[in-house]
Amino acid sequence: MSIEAIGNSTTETLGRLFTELAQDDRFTAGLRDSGISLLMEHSRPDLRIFVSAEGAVVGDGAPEYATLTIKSTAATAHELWLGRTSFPAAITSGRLRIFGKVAKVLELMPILAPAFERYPAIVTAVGA
Amino acid sequence: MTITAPSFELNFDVLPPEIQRFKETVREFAQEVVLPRAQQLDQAPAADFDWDLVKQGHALGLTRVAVPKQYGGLGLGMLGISVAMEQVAAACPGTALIFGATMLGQTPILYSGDPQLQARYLPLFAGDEPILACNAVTEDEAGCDLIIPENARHAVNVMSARREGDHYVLNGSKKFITNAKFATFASVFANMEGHEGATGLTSFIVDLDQPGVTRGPVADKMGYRACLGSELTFENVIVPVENVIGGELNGMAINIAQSNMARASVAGISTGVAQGALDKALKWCGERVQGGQLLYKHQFSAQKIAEMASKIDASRMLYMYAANKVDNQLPAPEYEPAVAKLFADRVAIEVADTAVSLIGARGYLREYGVEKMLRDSYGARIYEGTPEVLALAITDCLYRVSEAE
Repeated sequence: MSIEAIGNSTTETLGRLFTELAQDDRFTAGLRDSGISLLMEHSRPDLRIFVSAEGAVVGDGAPEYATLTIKSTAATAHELWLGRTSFPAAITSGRLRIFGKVAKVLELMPILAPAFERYPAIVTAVGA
Repeated sequence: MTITAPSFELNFDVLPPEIQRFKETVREFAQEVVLPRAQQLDQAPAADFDWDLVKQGHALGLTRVAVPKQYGGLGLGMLGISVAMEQVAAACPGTALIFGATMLGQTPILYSGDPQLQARYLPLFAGDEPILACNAVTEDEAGCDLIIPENARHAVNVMSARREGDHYVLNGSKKFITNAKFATFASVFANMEGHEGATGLTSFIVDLDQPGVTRGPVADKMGYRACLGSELTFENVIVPVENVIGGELNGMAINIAQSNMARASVAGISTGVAQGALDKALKWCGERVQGGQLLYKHQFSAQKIAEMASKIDASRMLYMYAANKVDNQLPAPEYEPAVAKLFADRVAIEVADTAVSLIGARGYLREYGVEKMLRDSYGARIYEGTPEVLALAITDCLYRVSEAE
């Protein structure tokens, strides 16, 4: 299902992804061990998602600062977590930008594996 | 939930402690080990290569500066690489480029975000024996055409790739590739069949010790003679699908991203060349007496020295600023590394030229090592972005920002 079809459910799919990941011990252990907190700033529609080992905050209450900030449109994030594009492709094409220590980005990549596993099921559930 | 942002202070005086320590270690290696061999390396036959020097550099970590610590690297990022490159280049830029080119070959793997690919290749650089990597882009008929997107469709006879089941088959050749003679693997850019020019450029990691790969003769270069540049020929070379970086057709973007990352380190090399030339000039002008006083006391000579020192300091600040930006965002910035390289490459030539002039007749003799620095200074102006390519990148950024405003 495309992000356009999901439309206002973006908050639900992307937000739900990280709310669920914040309950995933494998994910939170990775964030804790690496000292990484993550802020996703999406546009079209605007959405901010913060996640750390302590939990997730979706929406305007998300903190302003995180170890790493990822900026993209909601559509790019949707394509990324569905596996239809990759981090290198999205980064080198300028559709996705990351701010923070690049060394931390390298640590983050394996920690994100559960996101790719969960998101298709979330999209299916929302679209169902 | 609140997270306190760290307070950011502008500090030009102090490098991060890990990088400062590494810089001092590398400087000692450069001055005590590399510099005494620099002249011999320069005047040896083109195909001669000093593995002992590479082993000593490897022991310090120069083959794995940017490799993450979890893979046995130093994890010091582009700032660490650039600072180290300046130190080695002040003694011998050819030696610096052996390590720099290895880093360039690693970069697509770092960019891939693929833990399995990274786990296969990156730990190789933490072994007891050194290995080298290389970045294979340039071809006989394609140089800038493989890094300027607008040129891609005009590129001719670009190395080709085609998919066959679970692997790709590569055919073609690359030219002037630093480390190709000894590299264990290469980052290779080939055009997918059926795509015009280089519009289907794709990035591959290719093991070089396999059937179909031929390592060609070494080029006899004007400078940078401590490192070897040679051809690589690929005849029906098999590459597994897992070794594609960023998916098919994304090679141009990967190549540009790689260059944006690496240009700060090349600016570091050029700054080192200039510093090495200035060091020789300072020594001479501090010892030579003419007209009853030391050369540097004469106003015209003092002006030259002051100009040289000022340019080098400016060059250093530009590459450090660029390297720091590269270490803190993805994709790597385009503007700051291009500016740093454009400036530093020019400074290297100007300072080396002035050093030869200041040292007079002896500056023209091989045994003083200054004419070597002048010959070396032209090298960085060619690789990783000529002034023409950099000018297009910089103006593109300037007008892009203007349009956004």
